[in-house]
This record gives sequence, C-alpha cells and structure tokens, in this order.
Amino acid sequence: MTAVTRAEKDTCDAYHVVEAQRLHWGCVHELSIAESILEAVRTECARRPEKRVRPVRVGLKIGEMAAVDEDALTFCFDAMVKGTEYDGLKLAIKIVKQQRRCAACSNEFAVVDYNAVCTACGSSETKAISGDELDFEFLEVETDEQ
Amino acid sequence: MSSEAKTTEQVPMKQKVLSENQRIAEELRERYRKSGVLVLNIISSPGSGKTALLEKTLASFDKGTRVAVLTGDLQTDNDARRLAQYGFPVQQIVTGGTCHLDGKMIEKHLAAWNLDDLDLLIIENVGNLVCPSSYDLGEAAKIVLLSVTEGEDKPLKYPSIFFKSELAVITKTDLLPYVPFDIEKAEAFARQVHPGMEIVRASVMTAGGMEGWMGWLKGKMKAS
Repeated sequence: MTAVTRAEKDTCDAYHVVEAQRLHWGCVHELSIAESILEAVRTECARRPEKRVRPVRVGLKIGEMAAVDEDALTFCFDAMVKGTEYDGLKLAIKIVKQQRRCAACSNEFAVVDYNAVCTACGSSETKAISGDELDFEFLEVETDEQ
Repeated sequence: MSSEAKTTEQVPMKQKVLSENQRIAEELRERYRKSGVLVLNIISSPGSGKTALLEKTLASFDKGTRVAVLTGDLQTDNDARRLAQYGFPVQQIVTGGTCHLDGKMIEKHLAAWNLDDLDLLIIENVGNLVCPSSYDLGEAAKIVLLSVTEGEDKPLKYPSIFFKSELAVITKTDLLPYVPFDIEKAEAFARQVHPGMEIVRASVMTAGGMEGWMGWLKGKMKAS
C-alpha cells in the first residue's frame, strides 16, 4: 500500500466534505459553479505569466434571482481550493437585488418580497433590469516583486 | 538575493461565471435556429409529472411528427424507456449525480441526431426546481411544472425558475378535489413573481385535461 501524502489527504477530505454536503442538500449546483470560478481564475492567472501572481480574492456579483446560495457556494469553493495551489483564495460576494422598470410609467424600483408590481402606479407591466446576474467583478492578485 | 515585496492589485473581470456554458448555449441556439427546430426546456420538482405529461404529449402526435426528447436523471434510463414506447427518438442523459443538465451534455447527446430532421426537441431536465434555472441550454423557452400535490406558494419559495419560465403548467388538476391546493392563489403567486406569465392547467388522467398545454405547444410550434 502506498502512503498518502498530506496534499492528497486534504484534497480527499475536501471531496468527502463536499460530497457529504451534496447528499445532505440533495443538490449542489454551487459545486459546478465553484468549479467554473476556479477555471476562470486559472485562465486569468495564465494570462499573466510574466509575473509571479497569487490570486487572493475573487469578486462576484450574484443576483437574488440567480438561484445561487451564497453559503453553499462559499462552502464548496473553500473545500475545493483547500490543499491545492489556490489554498486561501476567498470569494467576495456582492448580492444584487432585483430591480424592475415599469413599462407604463418608467418607474424603476427595487423588488421587495418578489412582488413585481410597480410601486408607483400599480401596473403589472414591469420588466426585470437586474437581479439575475452571476458575474465576475474582479480578481485580486498578489504579485511578488524582486 | 534581493528581498521580495508583495503588491496587491485588482484585475477587473467582466465575464459571466458560467461563460463557458453560455458560449455553448449560444452555439446550440444558433444550430437550433438554422435547423428550424423549436427547443423547450421542461423543469420541475421530482414527481410533478414531467414524464407523464410528455408521454401523453407524444401519444397525441401523428406518427410523422418530427419530435425528439432528451430526458435527464441522476441515474437509470427508466424515463427514456417510458418515452421510447411512442416511436419517436428519445435519449436518456444520466448525469451521475449532477443536479441539472448543462450545455455540454446537450451538445454531446445531439451528436447522435440530425437537427434538420426535427421540428421539435423537448428537453426534460433533472427533477429539481433550483439548479436547472441557472443553466441555459439554448432553448427557446423554459417551462415550469407545478403539481397540485405541492404547496401553492412554490412560486414564492422558488421564484427564480418562475421568473425565468415562459409558461407554467399546473399538473394533476384531477386531484384538486382531494388536496388543499388553492389554484387561484398559485396562479396569482406565479404572476406576482413573473407578471404576465402564461399559465395552463393540465391533467393527464382526464378527458380534455391536455387541451391548454397542447394548445400552447401547437401555437408555439406554428410561430417558430
């Protein structure tokens, strides 16, 4: 039997924790989303090969209608980077409230309790203008300078 | 050796988190458009009657109808076997634990078919009211099912999918006399989250129970 290295053990533990959480919730698409975030970080870092770059924070904008749970995403992401070269990389999540614009009176309003009726004139002819995003905002990197 | 100093900077990132799925979805959308195929993405909780609705839908089509179904589940090909009985092309997508279908899975399974031979492609997503709403499959419309054995406040509890779906189908309406489901309230809640949302009521068990859904579907096919 071959010995398991510390890094392998950490990665293994992370997957067990994520898997347990996936079973517990019945579903974790946040795990797939965490993978997509890490993939984009890798791509961004690879674009800057001339410097020794270490990513420390990923800024995200998540709409309240995006069906992404902030805690689940943070949990999955932390477990995924643990024991890897990205250990310690953190998510900085900004939740974006749903905003709608009224077709009748052009009023723009923040939606409370998912009530999409115009707060000014009571019309139901309103369209969402924000609240559905799942976007990157920034990547904060530390660079070692000689 | 010179000493090292660390500097911190923020690099702006403009893309969407699921930009890779979005890219595939846009490619799929373009392929659907070129082939003139209407693609619908059907989403609901497990057990709301997606497969039953599709069985009845396929059974009602003429043999010459150019329709195909992709059906997703975590495990088993039970649904594909149920749907294949009606003589139209059906493929099962087994996700092996993933709680939603994504663009890559659709792209992979479409390789077996020529889209030019189809007028309608129905994608039955994994039974789940949350995760599938985040993944664009290039479809023309998402359709959400809500059965009367669930709570009428589901549109408020799971607003995202009602917000993103063009049509809501309230299923199992033959059970209304036996369950405390207020259908008027359910419809009002759906329209609270999504003003102007189209809603039809359906029952696969009763005569005439499919008329609203089939009427919507045929209208959509004619328009596409």
